[in-house]
Amino acid sequence: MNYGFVIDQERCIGCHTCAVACKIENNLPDVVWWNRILTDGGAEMDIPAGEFPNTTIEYVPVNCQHCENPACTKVCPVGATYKDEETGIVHQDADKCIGCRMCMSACPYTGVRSFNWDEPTHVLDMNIGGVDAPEHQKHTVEKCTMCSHRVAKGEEPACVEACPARARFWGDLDDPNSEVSQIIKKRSFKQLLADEGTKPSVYYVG
Amino acid sequence: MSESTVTRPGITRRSFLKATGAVAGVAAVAGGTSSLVAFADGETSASNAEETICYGVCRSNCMQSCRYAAHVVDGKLVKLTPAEYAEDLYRGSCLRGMSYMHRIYSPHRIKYPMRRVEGTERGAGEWERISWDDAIAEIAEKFTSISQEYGPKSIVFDFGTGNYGEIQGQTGIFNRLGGVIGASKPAGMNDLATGYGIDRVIGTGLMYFANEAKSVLDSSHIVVWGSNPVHSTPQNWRWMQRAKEQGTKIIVVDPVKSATAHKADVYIPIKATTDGYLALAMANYILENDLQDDEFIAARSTAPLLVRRDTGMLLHKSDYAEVAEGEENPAYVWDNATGAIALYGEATDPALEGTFEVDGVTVDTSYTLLKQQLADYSISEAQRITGVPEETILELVDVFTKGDAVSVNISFGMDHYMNGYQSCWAIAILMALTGNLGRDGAGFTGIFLNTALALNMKALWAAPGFVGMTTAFPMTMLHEVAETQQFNGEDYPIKAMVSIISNAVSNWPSQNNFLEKILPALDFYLAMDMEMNDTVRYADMVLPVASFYEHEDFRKAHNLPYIVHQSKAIDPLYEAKDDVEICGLIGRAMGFEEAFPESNTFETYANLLLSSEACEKFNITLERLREEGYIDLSVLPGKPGIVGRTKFTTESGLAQLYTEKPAPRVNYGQDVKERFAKEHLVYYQPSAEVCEESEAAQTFPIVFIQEHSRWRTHSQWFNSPILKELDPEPIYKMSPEDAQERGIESGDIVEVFNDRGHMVVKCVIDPSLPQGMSRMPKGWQREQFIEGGYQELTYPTHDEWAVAFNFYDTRVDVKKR
Repeated sequence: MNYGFVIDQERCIGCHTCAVACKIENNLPDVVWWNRILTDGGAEMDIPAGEFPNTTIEYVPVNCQHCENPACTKVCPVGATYKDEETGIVHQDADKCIGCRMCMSACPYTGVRSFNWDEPTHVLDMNIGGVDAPEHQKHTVEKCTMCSHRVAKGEEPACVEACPARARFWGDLDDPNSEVSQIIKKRSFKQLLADEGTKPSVYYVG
Repeated sequence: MSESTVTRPGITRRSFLKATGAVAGVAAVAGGTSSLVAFADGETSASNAEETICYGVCRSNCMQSCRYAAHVVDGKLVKLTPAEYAEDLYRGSCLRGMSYMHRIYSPHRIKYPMRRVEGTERGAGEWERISWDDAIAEIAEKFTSISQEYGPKSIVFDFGTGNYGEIQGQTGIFNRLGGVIGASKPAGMNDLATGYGIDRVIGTGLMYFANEAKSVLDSSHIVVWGSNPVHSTPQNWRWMQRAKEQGTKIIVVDPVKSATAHKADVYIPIKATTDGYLALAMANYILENDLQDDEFIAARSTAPLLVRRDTGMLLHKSDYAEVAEGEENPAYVWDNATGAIALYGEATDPALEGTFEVDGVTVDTSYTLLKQQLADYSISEAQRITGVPEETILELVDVFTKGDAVSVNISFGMDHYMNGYQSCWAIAILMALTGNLGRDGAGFTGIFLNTALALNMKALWAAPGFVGMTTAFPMTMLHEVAETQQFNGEDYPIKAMVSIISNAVSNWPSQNNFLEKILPALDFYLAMDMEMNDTVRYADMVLPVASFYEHEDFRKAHNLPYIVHQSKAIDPLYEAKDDVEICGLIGRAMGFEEAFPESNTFETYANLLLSSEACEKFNITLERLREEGYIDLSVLPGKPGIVGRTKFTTESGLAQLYTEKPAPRVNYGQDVKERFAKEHLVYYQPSAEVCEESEAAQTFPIVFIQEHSRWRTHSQWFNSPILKELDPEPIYKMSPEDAQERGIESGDIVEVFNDRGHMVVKCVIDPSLPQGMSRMPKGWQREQFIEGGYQELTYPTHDEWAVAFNFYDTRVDVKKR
C-alpha cells in the first residue's frame, strides 16, 4: 500500500481551507502550518504574474510529499523519520526526534517541515481538532502525518474532507482501481522536483 | 440533530497530553521549568472521554449555507467538519466556517456586559464591566425615558447581516422588540440594486432573481458579470467548475482580472460601470440584425402589450370596462387578424410591433418602444465607452444568441455603483431578448433564495402591543436626520440607537459621517456583539452575544434548496446570551410583559414562525428540523429551482420589455414624478463618481473597490487569530502603472485619500488591475490600519430610485508615505 494525494490545480482555488482544516485537525501550534498554499505567479500571495490582462496565476498546495524514496529518512540519525511500510506514510516520531533538523536540510520541499524552537503555543486556551491528533513538542521537527490518526480509523485526511473545490483526492497509489490511480492514469500530471529522485506521492493534475 | 457519540480510547486526550508533556518537559527543561509549570497548571481530572457530534449551519452573510458537524468534547467545540446534504455537491465548507471556534474561544471575545467609563470619549477604549441586571436596567431606563421625551421613533434599530438565523438573526426576534417599542428602522440599502434592476423585467422583487446554484450544469455558457465567485461564493463556483468540466464555456466580464477571470475560458476587461451600455448596445445590435429569440419574445414577453402615448400606461381592460378590485385587468394587444385591439391572450395574430390609433389614442407596442429606445446604443459607441473592442462585443453577442442556454452569474459587483440597477436591468433585457430566462440553464445565478416556503413573520414580529417600526428614510440619510434632528422639514429627533447583528460603523459608507454626525446626536448607543469591532468601540454599552453554535436556530438556506437546523452545540461562553434571552430581558424591563412573557422560549417563537400555510404544506416543524437536520424544499424534486419556469412574477406573468408603473425602491419624500416617464424603458446612466466624465475623475484618477475576499465576510472574522496568521494586515492593491507614476513599490506604506477621508496602509502592486483601478479586501477595522480606514473613502449618497449603497463608486488618489 502506498497512500498518496492527487491535487487538481484546475479545481484548486487557493482558498486555504485545506490548510486551515489541517491546522485545526492536528491542533497545530501558532505559526505552524503543515500544509501551505503557494501562489505560482507574482511575488506575493494571490498576485499573478504577467501584464494586464494577460496575467496568470496558479495555486500549489504543498505538504509533506510522503515520498516513495524519501531524502529525509536517510539522514535521520535516530530513525525518528521513517517510511511506514504498511501505508507509505512518512512519519516523524516526536518522541524519538532529537531536533537535529538534518531531515529539514535533506528534504528538497522546503517548508513542509517546521521546527519548534520553543515550547509550542496555541492561541486558544484549549486543544482543538481530532481527539487523537498528534502532540507537539519543543525542540522537535514536525510535519504532515497524512492524518495517520484518521487514516487508522478509516477516515480520509482532514484536508481532503474539507476541500470545498473538491480538488484534493487521497487513496492507495498501489491500487490501480483507486480514485487517485485512475486520475493519474487518465490525466497528465506533474510531481514537485521530480528530478530529485524522491518519487513524491503527491501528484498535481490540471 | 445530534448523532454518534464516539467513545475515545482508554486514555483521554488531555491525560495523554499531560503524560507526554511531562516527558517532553523533563527532557527539555535544562534551562527552565516552563513546561512543568504549564503541566501543573493544566487540566486536572480526566474527562469522560466522549466526543459528541451535533449539526449546525453557518449563518454569516456570504450567501451560502454550509452545514457543519460540530464536534464537542468536554463541553467545548473542538472541530467543525463539513456535513452532508442529500445533494453531495452542496456539501461545503470554507476557511472561515471551519475556523469559527477561533471566534468563539478568541482571546478577544467580549465576555461581559460593559459600559463606557463615564467621562471618557466614545472610542477611547475605556470600559467597565457591569452586571446583566445593571445593563438591562440601564437600557430599559434609557429607551423608556428617551421614548417618553422624544417619542419612540427617536430610538433607531439598526439590523445587520451577521446572523441569518430565522429567530436569532436579522429578521428575527429583535424585530418583535422594535415593533412594540415603535422604533425607527432605516430602510436597508445593502445589495438591493441588482434585484431592483432585474425586477423591472422579471418581477422577482429585490432578492429572488436567481436560479439554484446547480442549475449551471444545464448552461452552455456561463457569463460571470461583475462578480467573483471563486473568492466570494466558492460553493457556487464549485458547480460552475463542474459545468466547465462538462464543456460549459465560462466568460468573465469584469474591470479587474479577478480570481474567477483567471479560471475562465474568456476574460473580457471592461471599464468599470459601463456594463449597462455594453448590454444595451448588444441588445440593439441583436435586434437590428434579427438575432433575437422571436419565439420567447412572442410567447413570454410583454412585446405585444399596447402602451398609451397620452399616459404612458398600458391599455387595459379597465380603460373600457369596470374591473372590480382584485379582478384581473389584462392589457390589450393589436390583433392583425381583425385590425382591432383584443385582450392579451384573445388575439389570433397579436402584433409584436407597430403604432396604432385606438379611439383617438395613439398606442405603441411595448416591443416597438423598446426598439426605439435601444436604437441609439451602437457597438462603435460601446467600444468607446466600455473599452471593449467591437469584435469582442460581437463574440459576446454570439454567446447570447447562439448559446443553447446562457446563465449570468451576477451578484453585487455592478450593484455597488450609482448606476447599478440600470446595468442589471439592461442585462435582464438582453437575456429576455435572447430567450435566456426561465428555463433549465438559463437565467441569473448568484443568490438563490427559496420562495416556496413563506414563514409566518407576522406571528413572530407582531406581538401583543405591536405598533410597528417606522421606516421613513434609508440608512444613508440617518446622518442628516441625526445632525439636524429633522426629516423633510419636520422635527424627527434621533436620540438612541442599537446595532443588532450589525457593524454599522464599519459597513455603512462614509464612515466619518457616522462618527461625526450620527454619534454626537445620540444620548445612548448600544452594541451587541462577540468581538470589539468598529461599532462596539464607539458604543456606550456592549452586550456579549452568543455565537452560532451557542444557541438553537434554523435558516432557510441561501443557494441551496433546504431549510437547515442549528443545534445548540455548547453553552454560551462567559456571560454571553442569545438574542431571544436578551430581547426578553429588555422587553420585560421596559414593561412589554405581554410580548415577552418569561415563559416564552426559542421554541415558542420557532413555533410561531413555522405556523404558516407553506410550512404546513411542506410539513416543516421544529420537531422535524431537530430530528432530520435539514428538509428539502425543492418544488420539482431532482430539478434545480428555476425562476420563471412557467411564468414570471410580474403582473402579466411575462418578461417586461416596458415597465408600466416603475416605483422607487423606497419612498422617503423624494420627487418621484421627475423621473417617472424615464423609468418605463431601460437606459444607460453613467455612474456618479467612477465614470470617466465625472467631476471626481478630474481630481482623483484611481477607482477604489473594497473587494470581497476569502478572509472575511464583510467585517466578520476580522480578528480571527488563525486567519490572521495567513492574512495578517490590510493590503491596498494598485496597478503597476499607477504605482510607477507615484514611485511606489510593493511593500511601501501609502496614503490613499479623497476629499472624504483617508487610510494609511501597506501597498502591493497587482498586475490583475488595469491602470486606474485599485482594490482592497474589505473587512479590516479602523484599529488595524496605520491611520484612518477604507470606509472613510466612500460617499453617503444614493440614486433616488434604487436607494442602495454605492461602495465601489469611489475614486481616490495615492501617495507614498
